[in-house]
Amino acid sequence: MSAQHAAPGGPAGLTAPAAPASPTAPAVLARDLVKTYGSGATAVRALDGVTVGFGQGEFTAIMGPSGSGKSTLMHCLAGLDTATAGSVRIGGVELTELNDKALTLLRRRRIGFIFQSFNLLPTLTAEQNILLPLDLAGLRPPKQWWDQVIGVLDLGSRLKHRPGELSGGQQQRVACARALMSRPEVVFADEPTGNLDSRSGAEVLAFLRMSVRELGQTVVMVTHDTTAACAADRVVFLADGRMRGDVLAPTPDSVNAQLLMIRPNRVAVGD
Amino acid sequence: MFRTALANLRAHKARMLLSSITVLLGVGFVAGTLIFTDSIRESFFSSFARQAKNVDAVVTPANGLDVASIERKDQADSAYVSPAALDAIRKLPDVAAAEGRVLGPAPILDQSGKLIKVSGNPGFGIAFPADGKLGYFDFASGRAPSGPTEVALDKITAADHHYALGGHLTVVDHTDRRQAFTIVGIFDNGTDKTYQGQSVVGFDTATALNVTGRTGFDQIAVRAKSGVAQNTLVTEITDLPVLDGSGDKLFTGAQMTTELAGKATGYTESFGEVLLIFAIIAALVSALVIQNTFQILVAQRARELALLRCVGATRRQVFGSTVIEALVFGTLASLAGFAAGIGLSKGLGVLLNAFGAQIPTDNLVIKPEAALYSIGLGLLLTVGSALLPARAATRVAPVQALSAQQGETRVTRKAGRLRIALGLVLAAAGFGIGYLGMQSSDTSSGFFTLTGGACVVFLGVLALGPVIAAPIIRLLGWLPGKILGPTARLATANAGRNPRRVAATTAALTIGITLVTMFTVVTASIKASATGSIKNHYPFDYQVVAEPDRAVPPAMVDKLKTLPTLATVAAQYSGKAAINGKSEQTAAMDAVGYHTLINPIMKQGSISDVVPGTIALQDDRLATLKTAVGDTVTVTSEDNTTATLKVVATYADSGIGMPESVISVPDFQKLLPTTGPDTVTMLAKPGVAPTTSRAAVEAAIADDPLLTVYSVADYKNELSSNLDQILALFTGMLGLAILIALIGIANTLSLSVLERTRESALLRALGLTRSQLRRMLMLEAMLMAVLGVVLGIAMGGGFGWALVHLFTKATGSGTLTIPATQLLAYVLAGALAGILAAVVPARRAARQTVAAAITEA
Repeated sequence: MSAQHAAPGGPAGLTAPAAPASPTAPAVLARDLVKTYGSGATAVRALDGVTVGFGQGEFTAIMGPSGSGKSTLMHCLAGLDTATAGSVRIGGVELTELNDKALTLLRRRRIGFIFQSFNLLPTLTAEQNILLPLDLAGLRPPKQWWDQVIGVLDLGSRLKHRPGELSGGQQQRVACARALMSRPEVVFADEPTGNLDSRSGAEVLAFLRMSVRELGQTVVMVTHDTTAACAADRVVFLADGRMRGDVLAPTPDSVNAQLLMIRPNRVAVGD
Repeated sequence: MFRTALANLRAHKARMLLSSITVLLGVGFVAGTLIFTDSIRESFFSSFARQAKNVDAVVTPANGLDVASIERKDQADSAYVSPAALDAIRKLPDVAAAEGRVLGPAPILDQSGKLIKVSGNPGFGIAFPADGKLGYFDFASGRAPSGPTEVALDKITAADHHYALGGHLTVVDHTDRRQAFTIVGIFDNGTDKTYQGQSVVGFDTATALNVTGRTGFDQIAVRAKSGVAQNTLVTEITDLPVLDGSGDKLFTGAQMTTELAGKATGYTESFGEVLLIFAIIAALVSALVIQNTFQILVAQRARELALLRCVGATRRQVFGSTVIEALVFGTLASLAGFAAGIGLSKGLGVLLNAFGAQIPTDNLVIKPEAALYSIGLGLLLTVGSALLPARAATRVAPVQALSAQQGETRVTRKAGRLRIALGLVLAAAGFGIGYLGMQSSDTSSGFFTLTGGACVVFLGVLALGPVIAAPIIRLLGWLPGKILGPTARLATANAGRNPRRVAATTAALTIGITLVTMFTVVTASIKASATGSIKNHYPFDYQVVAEPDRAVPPAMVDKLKTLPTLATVAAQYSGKAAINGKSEQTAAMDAVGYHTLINPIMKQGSISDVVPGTIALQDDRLATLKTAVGDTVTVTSEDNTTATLKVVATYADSGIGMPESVISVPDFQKLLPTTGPDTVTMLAKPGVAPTTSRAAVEAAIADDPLLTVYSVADYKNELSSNLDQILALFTGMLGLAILIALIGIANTLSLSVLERTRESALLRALGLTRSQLRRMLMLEAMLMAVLGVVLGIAMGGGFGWALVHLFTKATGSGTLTIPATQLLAYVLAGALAGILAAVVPARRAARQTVAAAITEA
């Protein structure tokens, strides 16, 4: 899986995702990640020693039943939350050594986000929303890159509208544009299709795939939806805070089979 | 629903805390004012009531019972009870004792021979009765004076000027002669504010009459023998032939007490009313803040309310629940406010006395009415403010309980068409009314019309608030956006996102700032106008002024006229006379002062036309006196000397307080021969150093302690500092309303931050640092505060301009001054206050962890 970096029209002033020491070094690497909430008798181990890597230029999905800790994993990987123990590296930078300000700057420049809902600031237009992370860094994207992303996502006519005036699908496309605009190391997507109808959802997934294929973007997506997971190159599974295998080139059958395997034992009542 | 309401309140304690403080302050101010007014009325009454102690009957002159020192009456107006009446009363068998009471001016000198003055006024002399029971002071040491060489002195003056028993005191009598006395008693009038803090020296009755030059008594106080009823005594006294035709009035002791109580009330009433106006402004401001708070809370709890409706609560029950919450909240806050009001009333006393008002503060009177009105007002405001939001609460659709977004804030539209139309109509109507007021020729009705118009304009601006707020915020945010980058741009966008809410929040601040700006502009204009008026119309360099009720001795006038350092010296006279039957002020100045020292704005003729046989009148008196230039008027003085004078000129007030009529000096001396000049006005010779000419004048008057010299600079400074004091006092009173408004901004921001938890988390996820988030929130608050201040300055400046215009029309001269630096200071203060208001909410918002907030609820 060779990375294909978009050299022509690469954003000026932005470093291209750091060239790895070796071509197969992961874009994101977590080692023995532990996250505990609460203390003493009521302590909950949301992550119980997770080690996982996400390759560059790859589209990876994280799946698991509810309560498996997948959102927690994503938060720790993305620097939105601090792990109790273990290490996370993004593009060679060790997150657990960074203070809050440094983490924030990292998120600004080198990570992109797409959430399930409430992705956009209601007071800004679509255009302003897309430019927000770069604006915070005091930068602007080069015109060619801007045109390319807007064109692919078909947002040209929507740029001056506020989120209140956009449909759910359009809002997610704006979120995608924002996530990509700064050419981050990795884009984290948390249930991006959860609130969308099947058609809009399919559009978003297609765009994510395209960004990986043609623009060399690394995407990590958390989802509970098998269909969405199948858009990815690889699916990793999480249950009870632990990694429980992965599936390459996923199909609905292979994914569902793995899900059944990792489900906790139940009393067989119409199971 | 009651339990639900209480549970809600308990759950959202923190949210309600800031709002409850505003109710507390508003109610506290009202309660404090009421308690304060009741307390000082009681204090004044206990001071006045001393005069009624042991008095069974009192005889007063025709104009009735007087608390003479407070109502500083013009000596010429007074009538007195004759000494013959006192003798006759004493002979009555039922009378145990009768005393003639005297209260008159009795300036005394300090140990170095200088006149003792408090707040610019010399002191009083009173007659100490021979009958101890009818006296109204207690002696700290010594005894009452008896005989023509003895006096008693008040304790405070004695302490301040190092007088003791056995010492000598010099009193200046009514003929300006100094008399020496021995101090035989020191009495305590400490808490008695009847005498306004001035020195009080006591004589025996005969000496008191002698020193003050009085021919009769202010009152005759009579004590009956035991067993004699007050009414009986009064009847006996009325029957005395000596009182026939004197016009003297009689009161029983009981009636006297009632009269004095009425005086105390009357004295504190208008004063209390002014205070109450400020208190009500503060209460209204807090009502605005509460209403805004409830609106926000209802919007935030849409999901909760929807859930209630889902599980079966009717609209009425939801309405009731919200109202009950408001009721409980309002009751607790109002009770706390009342308690705070007690402390505030003490604070009011301290504040006012710091500005020189002599207010007795020893009593604390808490009447049930004060509690009833203030707590009632607090409840009314709280529940009233909650009604509209409660109605909005019923309109939440049950299905909203199922929506994933909690309290999502949309960017709302600005204002309905109806509201905009109403606002425009009000604004236009207000301008129209105000314009009419400005054109009015009668100053007082013009003033009321103008004030009415101003209020209507204000309401119009409030209605148009949302429409005005958004563009102004964008304008204000432009510069910070350029300098501070994306944080400021986000803040500007946020501040303008909900124009209705911003308008409501800042309205509270605008009220206070409008009033402060109005006072500032008017004060500055008065100062500038006075300076201009004096320069143009009364350009003196020095004035020698005699103490009230005294004159500058003719020898002194001559002496000043011979001073080589002075170019022009003119004596000024002033008094009262009846012109065509109407009592008017009349004044005269030595002709040498015409045009050189006095140069009023003339409507017809010239001031130098005023020669013996002529009179000039203030322009607006022509109609009342039914005369015109060219006609003659009849001028009658108090001693019934008449003169027929021809009207030769009319003039305007000119901003220097021109009297109602001006006559020549010889005519004045014929009409009022016993009234000497009260002021001598002078111009220094050009080229002479000011220090030299002033020293010369001071040397000339050095021997006479009853004369004081003022330079025009002294006069301007005194005017300036008096005006500044008044401005500071008003600003202080409005300070509470402004504080409430700022708390309102902090409140709105806190609630807004709570709403925007997810939004803030998103920003943090996208790369906004904690300090940038804090800065953004502080800038938002700053923009809101500056919006309120800017609107307030615009309106206050406008109203101030209109008032100055009216004032200029009335006096014929005046300049509008906009004190730009002061106004800029207000803007900066507002910006700073806004930032401070945001500190705590901003810290709390920045402390949230991103992950917790960004997860689905």
